Amino acid sequence: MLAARRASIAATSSVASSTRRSFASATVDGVQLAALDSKTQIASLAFVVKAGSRYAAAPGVAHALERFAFQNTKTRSALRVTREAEFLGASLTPSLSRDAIVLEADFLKEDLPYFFEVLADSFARPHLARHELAEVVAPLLKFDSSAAAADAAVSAVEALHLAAYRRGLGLPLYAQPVDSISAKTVAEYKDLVYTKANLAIVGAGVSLDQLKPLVADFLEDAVAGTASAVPASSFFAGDVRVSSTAGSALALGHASPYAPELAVLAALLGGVPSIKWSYGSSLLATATQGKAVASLSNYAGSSLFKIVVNADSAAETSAATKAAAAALKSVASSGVSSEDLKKAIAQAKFSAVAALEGKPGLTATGLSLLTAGTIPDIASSVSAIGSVSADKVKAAAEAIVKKIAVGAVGKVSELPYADELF
Amino acid sequence: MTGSFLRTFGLANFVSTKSPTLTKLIVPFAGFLSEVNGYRKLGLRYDDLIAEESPVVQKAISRLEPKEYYDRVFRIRRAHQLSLMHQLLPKEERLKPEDDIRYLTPYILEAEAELRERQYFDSATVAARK
Repeated sequence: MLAARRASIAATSSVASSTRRSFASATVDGVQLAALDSKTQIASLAFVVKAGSRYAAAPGVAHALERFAFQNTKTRSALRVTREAEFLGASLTPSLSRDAIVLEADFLKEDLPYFFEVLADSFARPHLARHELAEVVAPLLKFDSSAAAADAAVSAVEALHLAAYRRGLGLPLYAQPVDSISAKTVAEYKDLVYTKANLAIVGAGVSLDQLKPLVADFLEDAVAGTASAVPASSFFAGDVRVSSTAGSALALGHASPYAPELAVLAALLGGVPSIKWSYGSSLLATATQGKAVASLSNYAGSSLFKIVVNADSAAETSAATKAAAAALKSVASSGVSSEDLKKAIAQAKFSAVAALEGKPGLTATGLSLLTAGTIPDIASSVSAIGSVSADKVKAAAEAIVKKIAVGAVGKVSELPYADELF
Repeated sequence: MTGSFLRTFGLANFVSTKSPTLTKLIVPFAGFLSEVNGYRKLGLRYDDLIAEESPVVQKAISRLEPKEYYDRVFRIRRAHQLSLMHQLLPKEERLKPEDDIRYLTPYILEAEAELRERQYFDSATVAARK
């Protein structure tokens, strides 16, 4: 009965996949464009810029540049942008990752030219005034970095990046109190990275033909520049331990180029419940009762497989870390059952598609255009995950167990070291 | 706050750029007035005399470059001291007309424009889209 139903679903989904619409892309005046038109009333537009914290010329400067988004520009003041966005009904969100700074706007379709101009102003014509840094941006930087430092799990992931990559991807995401950031360094970084070669404009709910003329209208005076080279990432089995009163958390990680078996291994270990009020039935969920979560962070040129353990006390975190390490070691030594593998592959497929469709898809599509020059191929990445074998997952786990980086935050004297775990 | 800096400077701008006749009449007289006024003999610049007891000027002063701010305080303190001692600066140390730079004015105009814009948006009315 179930088999029959699945067969009928498979039949309809193959029809759906043959007619699936994906992003259309074009290059106009050196700017990469991608758009996915739909019948919705709301449109989203994202300026994805290859300017994330891994490219920071001076520490923390990428964070400062991100926080300068939607501040005063040569066309409009920050107040005007805010009030006019309220009048028209829209939401403007800048965001920062290790790879990119993303300026995003969600708005009613008819307001596309206005919001394209707002995003283009912030990209090509920001004021970056000294007094704005002192009065508006610096307090935001302090807020962001204190909020991150107050969360043990976030701090542990930051420490893990530092331990695993040192430079490049290892640079902290947020500006630290020790960083000396001036309007001059921010302006220099802006001139370096806010160039047409580093920009991808991705729209959902708009068509490519609507975007093309807007580039000529509003980005004509933007600097053409050259695309930033992705710095090579090498992996170090470092150990970074940070004393903190924020709680006790520990992150284990292993960096390598992306492979589909890593996504399957992350889903197999899991830890994130699919349903509310349960831990789920993944390996880490049963071993640690939801205290440990495995995930895969994909960056250009490198993927970081990580297990983040976060519990109420240092003793609990320590015990949960040992249980999580034992679960990983058991996959490395005795492999994985076919039932678990099936479940993990299904979950990994879902996560892979979820990262490429909808809202997160805008950023992912932009990044793919900037680093690979193509729209991400959802079908091929799903089929690659589908053909992962149990041996491949075991081999991936073996490689991870051999070399591992640790970021520990909290009462570090009670938290274990990598060589005590593996 | 009395009056508007934007309006005053707008008028000055009009005289100096749009009306050559008025410029010819006023500029020599303005130079003479500044000399007679005597603040340059105490080492002050004209912008040091702007009353700072208003939110707009306070904001402008807070945005000065650190060096400019230090120099401003130095000039004002030196002028106070000279005034107490009923003295003037020695001739060679007095401010030359070409050094009488309007270092604070751009910041004041910017701060007041921001204030005006905020007042405009706070009292704006929304009309239906046509």
